[in-house]
Amino acid sequence: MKTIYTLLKGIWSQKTRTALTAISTVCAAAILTCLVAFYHASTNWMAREIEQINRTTKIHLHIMPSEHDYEMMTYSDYSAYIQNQFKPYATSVIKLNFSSIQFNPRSGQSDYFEHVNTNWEFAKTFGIHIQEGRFFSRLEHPHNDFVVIGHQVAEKMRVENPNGANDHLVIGNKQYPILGVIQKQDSALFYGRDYVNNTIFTFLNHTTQPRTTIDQVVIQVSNPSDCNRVSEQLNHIMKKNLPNVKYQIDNMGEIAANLQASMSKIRLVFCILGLVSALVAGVNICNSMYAIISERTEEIGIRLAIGASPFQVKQLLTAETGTICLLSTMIGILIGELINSQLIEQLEWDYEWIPAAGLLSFLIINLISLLSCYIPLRKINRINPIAAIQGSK
Amino acid sequence: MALLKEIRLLETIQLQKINKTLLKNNQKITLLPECSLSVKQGEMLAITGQSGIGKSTLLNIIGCLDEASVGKYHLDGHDITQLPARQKASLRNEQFGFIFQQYLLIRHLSVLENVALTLQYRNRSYQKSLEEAENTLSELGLGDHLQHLPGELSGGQQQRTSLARAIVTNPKILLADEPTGALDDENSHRMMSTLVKINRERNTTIIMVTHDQSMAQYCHRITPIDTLFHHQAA
Repeated sequence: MKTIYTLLKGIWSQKTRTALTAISTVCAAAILTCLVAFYHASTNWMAREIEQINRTTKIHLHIMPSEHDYEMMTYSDYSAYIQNQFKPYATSVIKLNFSSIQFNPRSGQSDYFEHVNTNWEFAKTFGIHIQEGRFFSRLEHPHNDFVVIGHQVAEKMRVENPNGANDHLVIGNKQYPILGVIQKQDSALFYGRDYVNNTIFTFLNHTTQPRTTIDQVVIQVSNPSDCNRVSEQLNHIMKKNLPNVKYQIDNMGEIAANLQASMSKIRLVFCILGLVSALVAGVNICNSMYAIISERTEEIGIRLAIGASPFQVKQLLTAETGTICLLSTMIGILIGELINSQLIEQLEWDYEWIPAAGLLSFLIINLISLLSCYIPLRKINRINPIAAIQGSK
Repeated sequence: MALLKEIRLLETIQLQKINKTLLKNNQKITLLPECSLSVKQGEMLAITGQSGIGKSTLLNIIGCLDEASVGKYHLDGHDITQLPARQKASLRNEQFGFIFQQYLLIRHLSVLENVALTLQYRNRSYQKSLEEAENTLSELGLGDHLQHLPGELSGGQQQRTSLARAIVTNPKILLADEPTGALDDENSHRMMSTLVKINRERNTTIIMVTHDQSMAQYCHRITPIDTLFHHQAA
């Protein structure tokens, strides 16, 4: 304890220099910890996304909107040309332009929200289960007087009205019977958004005519390597059978591959940033050490004059710098973790504490600080005690 | 280690025709031309002379703080002219005690820690070194100032702290560079009396450089530095 006390006294005698070294070390450790932790979180997220895409690899056929029916694809076209051609795969259609009301649990307000709605096959593809499943049984449902609510909406209603039947919802001045509650859905299926759990599905756009046109076709392939072939086949079918329809094909397999490539780039960028921050800390510690040796020349001279060996003086200065770096690194790691957790919360990813990130920063920064001390401290071997004492006068 | 043990038994300083060459403004300056000196164990010697002639340089060479450019330095019969830095540091710690004109205490350490430091460099435990340092400081009348910082003491007290640091290891040889140079008359005489007492009680060899003849009178032998140079001797 006494030795530590003496050590701290030495550190305190160089307040400004200590503060500067400590700040740079804290920053470097914080940046490094944050980078490592964020790198881990982002690559994990990307890996999950890629896995998700690969697990349910899909080819999206987007039909461009048009006022003319002959430029649109109908459900019959889909059944005739696509559904049967891609039998081994799960195919589904998507119908856009249905409005819903979404409760925003964060703001506590209800927002009108345009969302994607689709048929039973789509629900099956995405694993959406319906307790009382009439809503998705047909794409062109003639009724518009009911709602199906998400899991969280039902929860909210139960909390607000624990004794009530909760069998209807009032929107505007009209009562809508609740036909069903969608079971709790995994937000990962919806790119981190749990809007399905928060959504009230209803047809607010009144229409008396059955809407036969569709906006999207989704083909789920079992093997990501089939993506390109399916995509080409779909392109061929569209050109041959529906030449008037304007469309765009999105190959999710390709997107997954692009994400994979991005991961390598991100890894490189993170490594470079980590190296730069470690280098900056190293240069700063090295610079501080040179300055400390210059400022404490007299003290070093006195210590050598009263019988300290150069090794003992080096040991003392290394211990002082080591203590500064050790404490600063720990503070930096805490700050880095804090920044990282905030960042991840903002991105709505799952925060996970990664001990390896702190440990890695701790090792790198302290190793660099010791190496940075080594070069300036060699100077002490050449210091003549008397010259040091006289030089400082 | 064998060398250090033998040095303890013999205990004499012998400088043979040393000199010190310095480079100043690209010009070579030679100090201490062929300087020779012998000092016996237990002797209290004052080296006097005008400023700039090389008194302190001579003292630094004796104390292994500096090296002669030519000549031989024998300590107790052993040639230590070319001793490596680490062994010189060890020799300084084991054999010599230093008192400087400007006290040269470490500013951020307390009086007690300053004195204990020398013992710590002799691998004494922290606690034991503090105890020994406290005893020495009390002997020199600084028992009430143990926790003070050097800056909080008067010049006389600082010089006594410097003396305590020099004698706490019970060195064979005490080297004092103008020990009274920064003190008033009363403190100067008090310091010299303490040095005489140490010399008598501990049989410590004391070599002091001073330009003050009244302080030199306390010593057994007074040697004007120029009498040590070869051309003067001739």
